[in-house]
Amino acid sequence: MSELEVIKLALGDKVSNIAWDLDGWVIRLKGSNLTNLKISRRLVGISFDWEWHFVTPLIIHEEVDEAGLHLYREMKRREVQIKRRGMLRYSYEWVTGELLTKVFPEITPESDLLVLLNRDGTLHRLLRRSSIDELYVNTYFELGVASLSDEALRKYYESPTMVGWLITAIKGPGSEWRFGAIVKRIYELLDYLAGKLLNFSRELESRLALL
Amino acid sequence: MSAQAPSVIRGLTARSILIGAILVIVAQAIGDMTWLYTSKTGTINAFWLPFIYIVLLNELIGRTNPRLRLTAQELVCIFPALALVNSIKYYPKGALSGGEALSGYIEKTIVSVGAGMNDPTTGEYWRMMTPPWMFPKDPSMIAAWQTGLTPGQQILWGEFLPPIIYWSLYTILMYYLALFLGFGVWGRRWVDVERLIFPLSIPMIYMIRNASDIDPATNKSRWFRLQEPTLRVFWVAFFIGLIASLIPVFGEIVPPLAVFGAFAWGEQPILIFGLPSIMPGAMAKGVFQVDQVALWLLLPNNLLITAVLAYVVFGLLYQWIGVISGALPYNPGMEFLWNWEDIPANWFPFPYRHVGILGMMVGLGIITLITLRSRFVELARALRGRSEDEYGLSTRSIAWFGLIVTIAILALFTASGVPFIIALAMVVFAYIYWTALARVTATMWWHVDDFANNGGVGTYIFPLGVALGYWPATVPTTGTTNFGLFATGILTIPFNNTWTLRVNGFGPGAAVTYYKIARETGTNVRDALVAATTIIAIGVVFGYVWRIWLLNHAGGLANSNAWAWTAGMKFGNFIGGTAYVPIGATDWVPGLTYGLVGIIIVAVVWFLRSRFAWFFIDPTSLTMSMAVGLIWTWLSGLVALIIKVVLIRTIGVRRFESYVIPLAAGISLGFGAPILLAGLIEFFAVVLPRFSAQFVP
Repeated sequence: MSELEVIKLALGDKVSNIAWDLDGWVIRLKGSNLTNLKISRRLVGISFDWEWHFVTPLIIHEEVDEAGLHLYREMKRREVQIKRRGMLRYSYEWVTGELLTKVFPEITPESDLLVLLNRDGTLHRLLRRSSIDELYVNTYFELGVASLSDEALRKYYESPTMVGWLITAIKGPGSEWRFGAIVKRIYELLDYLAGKLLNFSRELESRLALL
Repeated sequence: MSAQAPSVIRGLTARSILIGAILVIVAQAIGDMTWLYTSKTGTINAFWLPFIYIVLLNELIGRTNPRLRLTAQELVCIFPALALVNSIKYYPKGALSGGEALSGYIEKTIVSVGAGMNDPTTGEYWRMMTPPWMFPKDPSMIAAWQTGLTPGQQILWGEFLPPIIYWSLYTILMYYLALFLGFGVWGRRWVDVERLIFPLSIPMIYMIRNASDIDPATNKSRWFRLQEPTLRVFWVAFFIGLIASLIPVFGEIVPPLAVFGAFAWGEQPILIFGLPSIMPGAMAKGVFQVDQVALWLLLPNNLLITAVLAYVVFGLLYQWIGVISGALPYNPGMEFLWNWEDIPANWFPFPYRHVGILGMMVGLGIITLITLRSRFVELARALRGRSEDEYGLSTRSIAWFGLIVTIAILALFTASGVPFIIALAMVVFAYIYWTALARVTATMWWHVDDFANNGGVGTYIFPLGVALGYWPATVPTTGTTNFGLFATGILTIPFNNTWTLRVNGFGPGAAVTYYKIARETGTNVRDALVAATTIIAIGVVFGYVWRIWLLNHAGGLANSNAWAWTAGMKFGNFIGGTAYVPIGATDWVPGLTYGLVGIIIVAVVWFLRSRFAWFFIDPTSLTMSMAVGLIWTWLSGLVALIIKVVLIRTIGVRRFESYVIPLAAGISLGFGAPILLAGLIEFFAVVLPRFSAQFVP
């Protein structure tokens, strides 16, 4: 069974359409908090091990007005990622995003999203179940070669074209022979996380509107 | 590592040529003397100077006078001098294996033939059949080969001149064919396109690149900057490696523990004594190698898992179930034998080692060559004028080099008496088998097994001669008088692969590993090739002359460690009788059948692996494991896998990725560093006294 067929089987009736894009499969989803999910396989450094990247954008507004810009910058203060502990069985903790502190040292992080996620028992259960290696929740930015640089990130922060989140989950080496189960579990994790983030973003937007 | 590679820089300078030429002569002179008169035949048996000391010496000289410091590329160009003398085991840690280096070729050519002529049983036959270009016909020289010159007697150099020229040519052509394939056919694709890992090259690349990173302000190498985390990891790992070298010190140097039979600085057999009582017949032996474990941390999990799984399926379950069900006979102690001994891997009904050697290796070689077909087209075009510059090496030059070497081998074999079609078959099998050897080495390690004397000749080459009417199907046990068969039998070993070739310092795997080192250190590839070919030419000719002088002047075969027994190995391979595999076979049909099974297995596994992401069994790892009878792969694979999983789970994949190369390089280099001390002690305490005691002026 090919990689693609395993993905189709794992996601079942959630799949609306699948297409190849540059370096991975882009899966358009239905009946889900996620609109689409990109699954790509990348080499880990010198070793020929593969790691799997699951990337999904979560768009809140497709156009950016002044309120949207404000929302985007407030969301930026809330970028988070997981910190993994343990050896045989992992435990997870949400912490402030590394990208935020490194690329935007002048921005003061806000901890409300982080606290919310850390208190969510279901989310922790899904994290442990997927045994994910890395998970990042960043504000949306355009993907592309240039956007990987710090400067491009700052540029996008100055004038974003869309407001939303970009969730990146990474599953490290040793996943090939249980790839189907991994895809399913990571999808469930991302779907649940996306739901939480959507609710949080709407609530944040309302709070900002009241100010 | 590719991303950090500097641009191509010249390494072939007047001083690097001079140093390389002097070094190869000094190294072979001391190394071959050590080989012949050492008491540690498995460990201190060549020139005992790990390359790290050359690099450290270079730093010391450079600090005194920066203009005298050799560049990274010059270091790469003198490296062949020591690799040639010390085998592939020199690459990761500086270990020695004279029998798997230039001295090994000398053993299996002129020494072997001279030993045959002195054999008490078959000597008369050898003296009748051996032509004067293989060994002198003069009885006094034949006798001196066995026991050394008598006082007042002189070497008849005129008698030795044709054998020196003949065997030098044979040996140089083997080296050059490996260099052509490594530099011209395999290297570019495997480095740039397939990005194979080349574990054996990692310590050398890491050491040379860091040692040559000079701070202009202080004129010191940045290699020693402990403030930098990765370099700190390297030096901590280096000391861990030093401590781990207690394993070979106690396992190979100090007599009480040497009973476990370790050799080659850290190839330590581990016996699982309790296993036979639980699973009678199951393989209870594995070789543990510190540097192999360290460098295998770089391998993908699926390669390691494949190596372990192959052991579980064939070494444990197959052998155990076979014994308890009665399908395999039980010989007490069979669980602890080596792969070349009487073990189920070499028995009916499923001789998995022969399936590996005769089938999977052949299949792997064919498949790999098929994947490289466009490279041959490129080289063919280059011959007609469409040349490209590949990191300093023109494709036209390397294509002509390969063509000339191939034709020269065919001409030499044919002129030696081998029927042309047979010579062609020998070359074709060399291309196939050497390709598989190199692929295994570039992907994992040097552990594979010998083709020629494990059924390869009997299964593929001998029957071809029978079918074409060159010789009869049955060979008299007193020795064939068919000169075509005699010449073929003599020349297939080591050309069609014995350990001397596969683990040689410039055998197939090593040649392509050297290419990788040249590429990753930014060395002009043409310079690396010219340096290697020059050093090889000098080293080989000197090696033969020196060996003739040594044996004649200091005791001969009878009073040295020379491999007189290799004459028997050649005699057993169709010169003086027929030998087939697996054990018990009476003709070549079982070998051919199991060979076919192996080819099918590797083709299916290759297809599944390339087609399906979930199919994790790796064809190269499986081939290597089976072809080497599992003993050399599973234990190091298991330990590396456990360490890797634990490290990734504790420090995370990103930090693992940052530190794994300095960690592996440090452990390997530290592990091999004490060889110098052990070598010095052995040379002055044993080798020189033994030589002087037997010296006849």
